[in-house]
Amino acid sequence: MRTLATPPHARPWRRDVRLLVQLARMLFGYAVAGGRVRRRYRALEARGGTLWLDEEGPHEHREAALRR
Amino acid sequence: MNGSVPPPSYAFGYRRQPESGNAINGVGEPRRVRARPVFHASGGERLAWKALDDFFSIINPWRVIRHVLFNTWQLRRSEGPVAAAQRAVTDPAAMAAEIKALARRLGACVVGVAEVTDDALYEGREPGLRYAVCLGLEMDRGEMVHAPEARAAAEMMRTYRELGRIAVELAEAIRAMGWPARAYGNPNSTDILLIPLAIRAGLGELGKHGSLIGREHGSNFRLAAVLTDLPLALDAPVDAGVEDVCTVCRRCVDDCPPRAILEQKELVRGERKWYVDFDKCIPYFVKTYGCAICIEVCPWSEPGRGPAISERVLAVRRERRDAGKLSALPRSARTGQPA
Repeated sequence: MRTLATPPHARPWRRDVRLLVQLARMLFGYAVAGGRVRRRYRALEARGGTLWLDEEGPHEHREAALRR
Repeated sequence: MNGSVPPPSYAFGYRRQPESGNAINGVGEPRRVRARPVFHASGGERLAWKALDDFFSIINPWRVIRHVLFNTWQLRRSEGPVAAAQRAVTDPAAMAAEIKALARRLGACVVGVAEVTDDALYEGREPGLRYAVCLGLEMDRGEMVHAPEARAAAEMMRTYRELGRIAVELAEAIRAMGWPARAYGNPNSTDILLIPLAIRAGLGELGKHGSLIGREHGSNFRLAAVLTDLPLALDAPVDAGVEDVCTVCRRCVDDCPPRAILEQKELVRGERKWYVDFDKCIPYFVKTYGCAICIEVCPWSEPGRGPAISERVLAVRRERRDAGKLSALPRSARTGQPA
C-alpha cells in the first residue's frame, strides 16, 4: 500500500537534475522514436493499414519522468 | 465543434485485445470497490491499455507536448519541506475561506474542499492526507470550439499546465504554514480521482458525458487538487439541476462520433451513475488527441448560459413540487370551494 503523503526530497537539486535528465530523454524519445512511429502510423493510415500497438507501438511514455 | 469531424475508424489497434476497459472500470460491479487505473498513467504502471496510452503520448503534436513537459517540470515541487512552526487553526471555516481566496488569487476559477475518501482513491493507495482542496480552471472557449482538433488539445494541456502551477503554489503556501500538502496537477495521476472529489467539494455534478458540469462554466473547465492535513471546513455537493437536464438532453449522445455515451445510467462500483463506454470512447479520444466534443457541445458549456439553464430547471422543479403538493391537498383546499 502506498501512502500519498511521501517525505520530501532530502536534496532538491538532485531531484531536479534527475528530472531534467528524464525530461531530456523524454524529448529525445518523442522526437526520434516517436517520429518513427508517427511516420509509420501516417503511412498505414493513408493506405488503410493498421499499426498493431501491442507489437510495434511505442513503449516509452511521455510522462515516464513523473511516475505518479 | 466546427464542421465535420473525423470518422470513428482507426489505423491502430491490438492484435490481442486487452481486457475491456468497462470491466476494469467496474461496470456491473454491485460492491463499492476502489477504482482501478486502466489507461492514463504516468509511465510507471503496466496498465491493461498502456500500449494505447503510450501511442497517445507519442502522436500528440508538439504544441500539446510542450505543455506536458513544462507541467512535468513544475510538478517537481508538488511536495516539499514543511515549515517547522505550525500555524494553529481554531476556525476551519475561516481557514477554508483564506485558502479559497488564495487559490482564486493564484488564478483558480472555482475552489472547494472535500474529504479524501475511498471513492476518490485508486486501489492500493492510502491518502495519508485528509482534505482535498479542489481547483477548477476555465478553458479558452475560442480554442475549445475547435474540438476535436489539435488546437483544442493544446488548450486542454495549457489549462492543466496553468492548474499545475496554481496547485504547486497553493501547496507551497500551505507547507509554509507548517502543514503537509501535496499538489495534484497531473491529470494522469493514478493516485486520486479528481471528479468524485470535485463533486463533493461542490464544483459541479456528474454529467451524462462522464465529465463534471459546473453551474458557471459547464464542462469547459479542468481540475486539479491539493491534498493536505490543514484543518478546513468541508463544502457540500451542489444541485444546479444538471441531473434534470441530462436525463432529457441528448446533445452529447447524438454528437459523439463513436456512440460511446450511454443514454441510461449504469451500475459502476456499487453506484448507479452516468457512464461512457470506455472501449468505444478511448480509441476516438486517442485518434483526435483528446476529443472533447461532448464537453464542448454540452449546452452548459456555452459562456453565460449555465446559470440561466440552472435557474430555469430549478424553477420548473419547484413548480412541479408545488403542483404535487397542491394535488395532494383535498379538492376543497385546492379550489377554495367548500367541501
